Amino acid sequence: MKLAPLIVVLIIGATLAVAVAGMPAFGSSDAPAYTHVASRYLEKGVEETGVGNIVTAIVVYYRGYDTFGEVTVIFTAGAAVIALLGRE
Amino acid sequence: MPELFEDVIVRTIARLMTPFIQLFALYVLMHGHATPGGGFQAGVMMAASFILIAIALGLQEAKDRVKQKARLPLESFGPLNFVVIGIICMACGGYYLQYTTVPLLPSLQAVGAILISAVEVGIGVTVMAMVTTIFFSMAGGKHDTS
Repeated sequence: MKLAPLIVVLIIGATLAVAVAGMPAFGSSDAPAYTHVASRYLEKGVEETGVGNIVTAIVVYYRGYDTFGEVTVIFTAGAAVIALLGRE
Repeated sequence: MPELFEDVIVRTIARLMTPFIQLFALYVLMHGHATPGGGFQAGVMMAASFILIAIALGLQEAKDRVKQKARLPLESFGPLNFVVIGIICMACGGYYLQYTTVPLLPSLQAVGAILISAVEVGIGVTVMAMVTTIFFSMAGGKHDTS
């Protein structure tokens, strides 16, 4: 029957709709994303990293391991294309 | 091989714009620590200048300007550069990628800025070489089936 999947989807959808009501307002400064580590980065970023651009400080210093993974992804993507299509 | 644009306006504008695009890409790369930008954006802009040449002046012209022999080591330079700088930081007593522990200069902030710029240069070089290589591989060449 197609009824069972529909019921499952409706239940999950209703749960998500209820959960949305509990989320912080859009752009609210009390959201967990802004109260956890963001304020510390803004306060001590220049002092600790020495770069004025806070985005670069977070991307390359605080989240350096993540950026390393991103470069590896670029490298792997190129290697996969070369493996599939061959060197030009 | 894609057909060349014989239009003199397209060819001239592409030829004129290329150095300015590349200069702006270098500016974005070297000012990534102070202004919006960084390695990924600069690498894509530099690759876009070569793609513009390939579209307007022909694929062979672009391949002559950024040769495969030059791209080959550049493609792996970024990740290697990243790993080496991270291990240098560990050797100097910090955590992996904790740049400010490297005792290069009296000011810790200057060391952070220099090493972050070095990492950004590696990212930019790799992104430039990889995006260019992916474009050239997909644009055709020796495996032309048409």
